[in-house]
Amino acid sequence: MDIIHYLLQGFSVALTPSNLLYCLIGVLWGTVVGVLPGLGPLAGMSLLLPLTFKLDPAGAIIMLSGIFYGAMYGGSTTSILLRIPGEAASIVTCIDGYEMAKQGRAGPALVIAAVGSFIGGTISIVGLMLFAPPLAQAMLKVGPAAEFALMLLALIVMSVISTSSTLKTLSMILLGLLLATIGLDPITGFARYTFGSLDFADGFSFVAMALGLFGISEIMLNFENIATLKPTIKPTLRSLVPRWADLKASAGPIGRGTVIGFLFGFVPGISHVISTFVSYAVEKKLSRHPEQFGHGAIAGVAGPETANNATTGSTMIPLLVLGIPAIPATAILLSAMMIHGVQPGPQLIAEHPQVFWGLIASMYIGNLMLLVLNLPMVGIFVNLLRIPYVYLAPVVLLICVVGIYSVSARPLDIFIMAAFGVLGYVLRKFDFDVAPLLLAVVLGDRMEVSLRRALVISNGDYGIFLQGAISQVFVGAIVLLALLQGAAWLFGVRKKALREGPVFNGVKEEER
Amino acid sequence: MQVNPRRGDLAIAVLLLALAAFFMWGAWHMPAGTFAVPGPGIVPTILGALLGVTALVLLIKTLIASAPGAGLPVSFGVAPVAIIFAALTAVALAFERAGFLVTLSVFMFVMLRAVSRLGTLRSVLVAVGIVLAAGWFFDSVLGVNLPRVPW
Repeated sequence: MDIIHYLLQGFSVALTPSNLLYCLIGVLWGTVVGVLPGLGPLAGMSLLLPLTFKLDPAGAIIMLSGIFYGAMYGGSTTSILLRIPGEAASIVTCIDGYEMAKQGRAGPALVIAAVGSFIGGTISIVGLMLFAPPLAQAMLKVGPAAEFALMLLALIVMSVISTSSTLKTLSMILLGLLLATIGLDPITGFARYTFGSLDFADGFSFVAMALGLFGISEIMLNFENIATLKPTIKPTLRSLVPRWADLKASAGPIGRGTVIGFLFGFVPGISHVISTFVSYAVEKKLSRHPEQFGHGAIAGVAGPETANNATTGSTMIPLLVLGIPAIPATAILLSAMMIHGVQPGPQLIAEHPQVFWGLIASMYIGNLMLLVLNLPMVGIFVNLLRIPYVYLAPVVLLICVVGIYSVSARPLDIFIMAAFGVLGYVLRKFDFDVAPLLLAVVLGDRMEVSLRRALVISNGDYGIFLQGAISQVFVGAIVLLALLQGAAWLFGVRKKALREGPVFNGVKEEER
Repeated sequence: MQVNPRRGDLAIAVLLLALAAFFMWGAWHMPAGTFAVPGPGIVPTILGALLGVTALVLLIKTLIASAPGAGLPVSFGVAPVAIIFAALTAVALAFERAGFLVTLSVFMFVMLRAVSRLGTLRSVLVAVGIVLAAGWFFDSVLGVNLPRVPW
């Protein structure tokens, strides 16, 4: 009963005209960045983040999370109609979605993708709503030692599942942790690497780094392959209606995709991308006609599209309950929350119920908005691809400049953004995954505080990290992962397949 | 410009080694504390050492793992990257001195001339138009405090 009571309170927050508008702006912008191959949810959220500073915390979080799950919807449109994934999580949809479009069945593919996304997204929010409060209660009992072990575990999991080699990912994590040490020491206030400048007292601006590593570097990468896309397949409203057989064939994949997506949402790294590959593999394995996969099987669209949206709810749980962003997009949300004075973690639900429950309610509303708006507006979204990139990119750069300046009115941040843009461009060129770097920057400060607090509590006894069941579970998982990784390295098992990724139109789709 | 991936990995490994050395050098001048009660310098020292080791392993692995010509060359769009970086750096320097209208108009003009086929006059008109619209939206609608012309 409590949950229903709180949820109703959440709806009272989410249904205010201003928050409805922010939600609508978020999901529409999310769909646009999902459709446009040059922009992903991360760049989309980074770009609008500075613009949310004038909003109240609930409105800002509602708008930014709307971009996150809106992009998951938008990514499928270009995958189906153009065989170009607008977003990395829609790569798999290209395979059967485009085949369906070639057979004149783009409409049913788009509808099933949208319906699957809606069902997966909505059930995932139910999971978030049910699991987050009890988990938060449990996490209140967790001390700094277990917190440190948990954050270390998150980084190690990321190094294992990252698309680049473990060594490269590890170096990115360490670099991120080192960058996080710049600024005042969180315990003693000692200035580290500031060279006497107050500009660096708070370290590098996280927003500038995120915009540089993902937004600016993406623009630099896209400039090498400028081509205005000309959509040829334009589904009409009438052609959108799926057949009964399509609905029947999609029911199972949607159900399984929901479960797969929800479970993978807890995994740090690129859960929303991996869940789509797993869902596709499961559907192909379970199908009575696996030979149809790759030739327009609707299950190959329904499963993965459901799975990538089902991650959106569960990936919020580590963020909201533990304060640990599992993926870079939720790191942006974390940053937004902290800028607005909302500290994600076990206390969030108790201290800021309007933010937590307002966000959950807005996600229900946002998913419904996307379902209702996306199908009739599919033609408009596809036409966005006609905007020449040579005009779009300078405007995006301009928004980046204004956005980053508005954070703290420091021109230095514009330079930091540009520098990290070049760094991100070079690193991505040589298969260094920059997402772990960003997550390490976010977690670095807190990891150090947890480590040092734990040692103060234990009078310098490192045994504190093995005390208590929760700590032991986390440390055990770290040891197990390290052993598995060591064994994989010894026996030469490589992440080659994942690293190389699928190839579409002769071009490797970069992880965004 | 085409760069061999092996050379790229080597260059990044050297860069990471240099960064590790820089962070360790900086940490050397900080109160270290002890392992039991770490001071501000101990975490950067440990992380710097770990990064140094990782970079060294990457360097050695790259040196011994592949022949100099192995791997598909990676293409680099040096010109667009240089233009974007230089333009953004110039914006950072001029933003508060010349005000947002002038700085961003020049920035947009340079970007349009560099990447599009628009002529000079059209580029000027489009640049000024976009900046005026953006200025109105951010400054007047969203209330973002952008630097005005100081004179």
